[in-house]
Amino acid sequence: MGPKTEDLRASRGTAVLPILRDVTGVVLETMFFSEAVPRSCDHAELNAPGAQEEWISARVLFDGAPRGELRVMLSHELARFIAANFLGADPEEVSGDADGQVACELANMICGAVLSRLHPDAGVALSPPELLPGDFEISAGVHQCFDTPDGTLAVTMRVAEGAEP
Amino acid sequence: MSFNVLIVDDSPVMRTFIRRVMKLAGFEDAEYIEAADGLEALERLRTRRVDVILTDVNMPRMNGEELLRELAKNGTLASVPALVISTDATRDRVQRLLSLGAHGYITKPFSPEALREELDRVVGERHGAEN
Repeated sequence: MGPKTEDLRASRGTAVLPILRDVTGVVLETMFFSEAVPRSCDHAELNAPGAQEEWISARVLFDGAPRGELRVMLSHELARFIAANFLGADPEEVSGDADGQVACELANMICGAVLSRLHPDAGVALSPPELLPGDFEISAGVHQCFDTPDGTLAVTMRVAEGAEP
Repeated sequence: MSFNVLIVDDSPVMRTFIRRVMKLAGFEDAEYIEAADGLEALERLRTRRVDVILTDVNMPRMNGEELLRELAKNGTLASVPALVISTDATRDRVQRLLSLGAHGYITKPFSPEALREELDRVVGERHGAEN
């Protein structure tokens, strides 16, 4: 079971945010043959009517020192495009299952890479990534939106109360 | 004789990706065998000759660490090079897996070139030791 929202606090953004930006760009470029450019956040897409049907959210919990979660939020359309790049397939060939699995892998890779950069000596266990349809809560933690060629990617990392980010 | 690669990962899309990157790295003619966890990997190894094992760490039923321990117990399988592919690049984890018998360690994200380089080192190292 993951940390509750009320138990979470904003991470030390000055340390985490540059790493989160860099790692997300490297992961998109290296594993998904795409790019991610940090952009200002207005979240108009997330707040638009019908957004819950059009966007998906994937989450990875981590436990140890530190403890918390990382979430990615993206449209089904973007998920399908990056899944196609990841699998070397046409977007039309990507199944709904595959785009969700690829969103989970994206969250897993960003989370693992950020934690390894932040805490190269720490023992941190990652939970299996999971999809959270319609859950776009982004009020706390370190957050960054990215422009990709196929849409917006939002990434949020939170660290539990009392844990060092 | 074909070059046989065993890919062990619980994520079907990651297995597909690794196969794809292997081909991009120059292993177009290799034969790929897949397993979703360590137990399935051991089953495949009972009936198939494998030249290299690429394994994830976090998997259900039998994870990558347990798989490496099982391989080390088996005289024949202990000599098959095993390369770990993981998101976890923390020093303790890398050292532990290498001490359990992993011949190499690739951290996600990785490029086809990085995978090729590590495979050349690991497989070439083994061939060099045999020759």
